[in-house]
Amino acid sequence: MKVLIIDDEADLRSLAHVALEGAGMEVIEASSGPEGFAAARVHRPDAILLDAMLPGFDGPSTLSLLRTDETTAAIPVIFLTANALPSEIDRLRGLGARGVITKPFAPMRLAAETAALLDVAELVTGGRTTHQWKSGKNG
Amino acid sequence: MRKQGMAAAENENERVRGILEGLRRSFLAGTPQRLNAIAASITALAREPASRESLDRLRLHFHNLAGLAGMHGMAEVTDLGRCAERTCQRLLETGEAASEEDLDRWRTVLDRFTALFAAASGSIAPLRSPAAMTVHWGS
Repeated sequence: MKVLIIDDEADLRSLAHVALEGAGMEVIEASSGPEGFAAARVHRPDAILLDAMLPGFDGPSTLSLLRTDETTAAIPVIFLTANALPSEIDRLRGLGARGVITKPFAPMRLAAETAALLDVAELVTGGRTTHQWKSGKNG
Repeated sequence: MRKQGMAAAENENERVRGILEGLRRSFLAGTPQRLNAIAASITALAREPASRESLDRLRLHFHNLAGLAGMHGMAEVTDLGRCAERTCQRLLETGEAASEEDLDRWRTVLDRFTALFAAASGSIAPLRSPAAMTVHWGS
C-alpha cells in the first residue's frame, strides 16, 4: 500500500514516514500542495494524508486540484489538522475527505488509524505487515 | 510459527520506536533554532505591531511547534503553542495590531518553551505518545 504525505513540516513528515513504513506501507513525501499534486500524478498512491493548513495553497485547495485530474480524482484523502473543533472537522469531511486525523497524533498508531479510515485490513504474516482493501477504494 | 511472527512484529515495533526516539532527539536538538525564529518574529512585531506578515509567521511557528511537540509527548508545549497560535489567528482575522499585552504573553510562552525544552534535552525521557488519538470518520 502506497501513501503520500503532504505537509510543509519536514519533522512531521519524517515521523509519519517512519511510522507508516514500519507498518509495511510505502511512503512518498511532498512539502506543498502543488508538489503533492505532481507526486500523486506520478506515483498514483493508494491514499493521501494531507495537511489542512498548508501555507499558501492550503489543504482544501489541494484536494480540489486532486479532484480535477482524472489520474488523482479517486484517491482517498485523509486530512491532518490541528483544529479539532467539530465545525472544522465537519467542514473538512464535507469537502469529500475520507476522514480527518487531528494533530498531534500518536506516531505508533498512525498506520492503524489510517488503515481503519481507508477500510483496509492489516495482515501480519511472519512479522511482515501487508494491507488489503476490504472494499472499493473510492468514496 | 505464530509465535515467531509475533516476535518478529514486536522486533519491528521496537525498531520503529528506536527510530522515533532518534527523531525526538533530533527535534529537541533543533528547538533552539525554532525558539530563535519565534523570538525574531516577536521582536519584529514589537517594532511593527500591525505587520500581518510577522504575525502570520509567528502564528505558523507556534502552529508547527505545537503539533510536533505533541507528537513527541510534550503536551504542555502543545497547549501553550495552540493558545498563542489562536491569539495570532484572532489578530489576523480582526485586523488588530499586536498589543503590549500580547507581546508579553508570547514572551512568557517563549520562556516556558525554553525551560521545557531544556528540561527535556537534559533528561530525555522515553517516547510518550498522546493519550488519545482523535480520528474523525468521513461521511
